[in-house]
Amino acid sequence: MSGATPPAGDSDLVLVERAVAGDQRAFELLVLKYERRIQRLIARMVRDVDLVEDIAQETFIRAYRALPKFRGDAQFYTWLYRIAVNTAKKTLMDFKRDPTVAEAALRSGDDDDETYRGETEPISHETPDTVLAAKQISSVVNMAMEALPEDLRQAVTLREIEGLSYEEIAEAMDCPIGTVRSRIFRAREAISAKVKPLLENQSGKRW
Amino acid sequence: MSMLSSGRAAVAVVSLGLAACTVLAQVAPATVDAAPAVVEQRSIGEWLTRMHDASRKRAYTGTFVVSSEAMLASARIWHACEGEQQIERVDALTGPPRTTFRRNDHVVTFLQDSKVARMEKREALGLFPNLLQAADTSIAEFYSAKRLGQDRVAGFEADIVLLKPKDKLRFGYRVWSEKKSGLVIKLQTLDVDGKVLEQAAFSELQIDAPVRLDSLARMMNKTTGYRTERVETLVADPAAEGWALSEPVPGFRSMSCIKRAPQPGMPPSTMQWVFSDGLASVSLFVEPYDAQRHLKEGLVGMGATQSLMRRSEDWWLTAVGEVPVATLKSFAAALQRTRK
Amino acid sequence: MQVTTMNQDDVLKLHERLSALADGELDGDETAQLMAAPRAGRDGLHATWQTYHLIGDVLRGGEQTAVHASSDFLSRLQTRLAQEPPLVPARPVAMPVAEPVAVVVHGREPANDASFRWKMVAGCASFVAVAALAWTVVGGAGSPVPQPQMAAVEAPVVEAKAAPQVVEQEVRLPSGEAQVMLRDARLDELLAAHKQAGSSSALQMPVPAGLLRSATFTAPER
Repeated sequence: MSGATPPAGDSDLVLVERAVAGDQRAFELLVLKYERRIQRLIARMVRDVDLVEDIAQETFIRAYRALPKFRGDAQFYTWLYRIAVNTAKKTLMDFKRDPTVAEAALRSGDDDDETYRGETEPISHETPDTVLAAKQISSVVNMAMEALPEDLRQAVTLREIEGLSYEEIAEAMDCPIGTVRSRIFRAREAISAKVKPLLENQSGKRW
Repeated sequence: MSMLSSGRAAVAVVSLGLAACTVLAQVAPATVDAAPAVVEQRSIGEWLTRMHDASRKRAYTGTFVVSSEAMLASARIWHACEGEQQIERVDALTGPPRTTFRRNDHVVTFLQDSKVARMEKREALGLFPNLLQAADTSIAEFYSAKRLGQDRVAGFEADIVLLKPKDKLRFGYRVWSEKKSGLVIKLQTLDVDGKVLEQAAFSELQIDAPVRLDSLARMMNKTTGYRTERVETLVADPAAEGWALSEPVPGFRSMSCIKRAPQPGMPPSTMQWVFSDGLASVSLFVEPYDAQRHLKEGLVGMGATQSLMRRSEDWWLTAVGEVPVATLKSFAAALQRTRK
Repeated sequence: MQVTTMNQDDVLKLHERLSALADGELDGDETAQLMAAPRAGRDGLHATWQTYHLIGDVLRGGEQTAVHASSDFLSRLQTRLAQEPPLVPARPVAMPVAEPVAVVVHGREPANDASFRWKMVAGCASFVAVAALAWTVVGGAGSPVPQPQMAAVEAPVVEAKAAPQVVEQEVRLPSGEAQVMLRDARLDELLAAHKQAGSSSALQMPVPAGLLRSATFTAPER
């Protein structure tokens, strides 16, 4: 499907190839792109908040070392995901902790279910502060979207949510590709302008 | 995340088709779970109908991960619907890059590496609602439903429902059903000991996403640059094909039967006979025995899916299903040739 | 005179390129120029890059994706990366140890673990479109298993009757034991057909065909 991939398609491969060729800046962009998602993933498996970040760091180091072996036949994030999961499991085992991935606690207390194994507590790092922060950010993004002129909103929606390529969006919106690129950029800038202040206020806080 | 932590709690089970209800007292501690009493008392039919309807009536998009002890796979998925039309796009994120579109019963798979677009017509098997209305409703006979608590998955609050089998011929399930819509957002398949065989879950999800049916349909038709292949299928009648089950496997009803081409361009010679108990399905694939292709009898397990391969004189059976191996063996034992 | 700041127009131009890069729509030259942007303002570019992706995540995944990055994650990582030896690009591909196979591999190396090798079932002559293996052995104790990702291998179709359907692979598990896995392309197809038919189930989780690419051979049935 020519370019009809959701975000995190060809751009990753471009960055990976540059990184392997020695462009560390390209690797940094990959790190920045996936840092949050990887930390979120690890946080579901690991209780200790500091350990989460350590494992995330370790994940990216391992990814960096293994980068020459990454083949374009799978998505970069999936490859990274596996490294994160393996790194987390190894670390937990090194610390002799329970390596099982956290599941919802389901001790129903019913006799019939005694044969069913209980599983460990889910791990939540959420605090009222972080939940509030996340709500605020999300709400600002959505409001900023609503406030966009129709053509900008449509362009960014087709890209981010429907995963259309610029070419496909140009077809759908009946405009040149250059216009698509510009609209998406202007939409992002407009939303960023409102979101960035929130992020700066919370620098240092992790969740 | 609030959980049912202690105390005995039971759900009122209403068995469809029976007049009497068994209601067990709910003795859960008041603090734990703020769900209204009516949620606790949904019958298995009600839970399943909600889940089934949500998957058909809601647009959604997300990233999906299936994992088991030895396997991890993920995909990005878009789903849109309009009236009776369903359309879905799935981009595999693991394995060779492929994109599968399904629109009602038409399936097109774009294989990116070989640049092949494979087209198939799968029988529309929206038969679940019928199961609930039939006189001998199997689901409640063979499974019970119990709400265990609630949890948050991919940003959504979900009810956790345990679907427990009443015999050893099927697996159990823990289902995370999104509170508002009922959409299944996480599913664990449990073996006879309650151990998780396989888990499928959204890691990212947007329900009621602005995914448009027409834009997905447009993508589905865009085969430029791809060589198209057609896998021919025909509706078939097992009896006419010369097959029958000497005795039914409890709970499992014959759902459909088709003949498929073993490879694109070949005539349809493999019979696929599908059974279901409402939650689990079993496919019996029967084809003429071919010594070159059919090399190894035996059992293969992948996550929740078990397969059994066996030769019987001139025929080769592959039984596949999300069921214990014993169930596949029952099917294999019961499958009979009714003519030469 | 050293330029320590960029003017606003330059910054916006770089942001515009970041936006296109995030969508994989930036051409080679522009990418090179973007990467060559001066050090000053690098932080600002990073912040913009992160924010653009945050926006996308929130639009697609909602509130729970809005957890933001640790402020010094990258700088700490950079300190460690500075100690890493430079990357060595992949060597050309080693051919599988097997009978004649016209293999087209995308110029990258297969899993280089010495214990991983292809074995052909006796009597088979060549492959017909063998899909890449993409599975992870995550269970078991010990260190993570090297990820055996093979590039998609395609071979011209020889003759249908000579087409091998079953390939044996030996894999070393973390515990050191060898496990033989059967990869049957035909079984994969039947599994896919079974999964598609599974819409007769009430539990409509979309389990796409072709997701199930690995098999553990449990026991011969006798």
